[in-house]
Amino acid sequence: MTQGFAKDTEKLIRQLSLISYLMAERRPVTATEIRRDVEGYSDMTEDAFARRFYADRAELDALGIHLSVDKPAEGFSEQENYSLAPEAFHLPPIAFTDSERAALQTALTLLDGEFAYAEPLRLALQQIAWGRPSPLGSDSRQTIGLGITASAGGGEVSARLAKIDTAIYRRKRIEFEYHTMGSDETSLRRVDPYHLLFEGGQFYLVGYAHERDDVRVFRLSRIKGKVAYATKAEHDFKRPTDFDPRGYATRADWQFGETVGTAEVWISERIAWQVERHFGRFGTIAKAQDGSGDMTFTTEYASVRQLAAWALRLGEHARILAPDELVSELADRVELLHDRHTGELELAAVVPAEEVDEVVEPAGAKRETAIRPERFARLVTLASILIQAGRANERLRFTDVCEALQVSDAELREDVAVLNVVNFGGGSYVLYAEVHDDGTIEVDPEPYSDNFARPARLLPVEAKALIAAIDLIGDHLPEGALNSARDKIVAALGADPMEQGLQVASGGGDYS
Amino acid sequence: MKTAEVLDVSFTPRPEVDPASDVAGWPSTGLVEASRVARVWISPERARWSREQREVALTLADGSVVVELPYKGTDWLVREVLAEAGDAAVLSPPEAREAVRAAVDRLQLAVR
Repeated sequence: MTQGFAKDTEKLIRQLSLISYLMAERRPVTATEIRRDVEGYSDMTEDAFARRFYADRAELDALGIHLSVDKPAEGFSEQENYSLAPEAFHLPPIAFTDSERAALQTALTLLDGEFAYAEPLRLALQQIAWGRPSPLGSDSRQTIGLGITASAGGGEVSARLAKIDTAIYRRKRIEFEYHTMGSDETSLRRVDPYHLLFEGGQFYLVGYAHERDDVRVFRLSRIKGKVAYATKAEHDFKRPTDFDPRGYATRADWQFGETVGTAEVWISERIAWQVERHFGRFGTIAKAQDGSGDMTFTTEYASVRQLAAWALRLGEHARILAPDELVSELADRVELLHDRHTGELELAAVVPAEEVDEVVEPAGAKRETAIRPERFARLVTLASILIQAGRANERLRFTDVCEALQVSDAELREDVAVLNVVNFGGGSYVLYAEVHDDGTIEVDPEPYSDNFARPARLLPVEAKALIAAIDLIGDHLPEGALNSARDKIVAALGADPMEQGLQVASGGGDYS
Repeated sequence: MKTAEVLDVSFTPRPEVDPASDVAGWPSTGLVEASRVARVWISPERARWSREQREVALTLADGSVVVELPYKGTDWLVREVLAEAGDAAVLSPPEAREAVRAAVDRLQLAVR
């Protein structure tokens, strides 16, 4: 039945058929029954089935779909019972209010096309918008434009981001060459990746660095070449339970590294409110007792230069009061600024520029987003779109579905062909969809399409994308506008994706 | 913006103003449609950071670099140079170099 499909596609059909079967049966089933009834397993030898079934379960597990295994006290694996509780596959309904939906629509429309996680975000929105216009629909009354980007920043960084994102979820140790700016040296690093952080327009990896025997932060744009798995094992490490990613997202530029002291900085009344708003969380504020409106900002620092640079940027409206080493560092740097802006600055000879071949992107080339969701996620979303239309007795426009899922004509046709083959237990199909010459898709939902007629749980990468998008935008919209929507999404997921691999940090300050 | 208040007054949008085109520009790219360009020298110690952030116009034999910073407001340029904590110096235009010098003079009074 699955002949004519590539091996990867056969695997997808098998996995979807397995899920359909387990949810349809509503009872624990044995491996023997699975092998007999589920599309793709029945032609396998016993050994092949054992290997493939184990591998499929592991892959579904990695996608966040956890099969329950009921092992008898003694016995062989064939006597284990497998089941998939509906709540392990489906997303609980999320009752957004109109204002939450409007906030999501505004926030997420702004990011479309300029976000490293754009594709899994799109799928996530299809799921949570179940039965209502997608929050990515156009809004002619849109009155806000967004001028920030969370793109991965180029093909190379995109590829690293995708690899590291997967390595975090699969707990795989990675190796890469890294250029340390401080020492201006490049060396091989072996890292257990714990978390991704997006801050100040850059992606950072937080992980345990084996060479340093400590947790370190790596900027993805400073990784040279490719990121590779260090071993062939399924998992290499467990993230420590006491690891808190939030500590890495709430540091000022001058706080990266080991704390070496605590500074006191006088801030004039003129900019006190701005410093408090943008930097207050990096220290403590004490208002002057003389009623002047001036304040003292106390903050821990790891880098003398970075703190001095921050204070200098504020001009005569900031002055370092303590400690003495910092005061004298600042005075020295002011002297240096003075000397370099007095008279003529003597410059060394110019080094001739080398000719560089410019890589020109073809005109109209589709922008490569960094993270492609698993095709599995796309098929599940497509199934739910098709079944919903079938039950409503409506035909879908082929181009609309391509646009909604951001797939090509050929990809959608192949996805429809795959879903038409998903079946189990003696011809129990999930759906039958036909693409007509008039550009429409007609769907006959089969009896067992019930299982895809409700929104599926967000896959880990989709959940991460949705919360990351909200966190990225939320910092730039009035507080509270997206917070309640975020809380509902986290409640439905059962955990905050931010704690499981990707965090968008608040900006460190706005100097403009 | 420190504070904002909605007034009970409405307005008619001016047809010649297109806010979307502005948003697609400098907030996304960081590059302002500039009327001036400053040439700024960056010390050898900080050159590699500059290479990450900006286009380098010239590389010099001692490892320092010269970058070109498009700018509209001199205040912004002064802050950018001060924030390099002495590792940057404006080469041109003269009025920009003078503006940094004036800011440094004020700083010298403050730190003494």
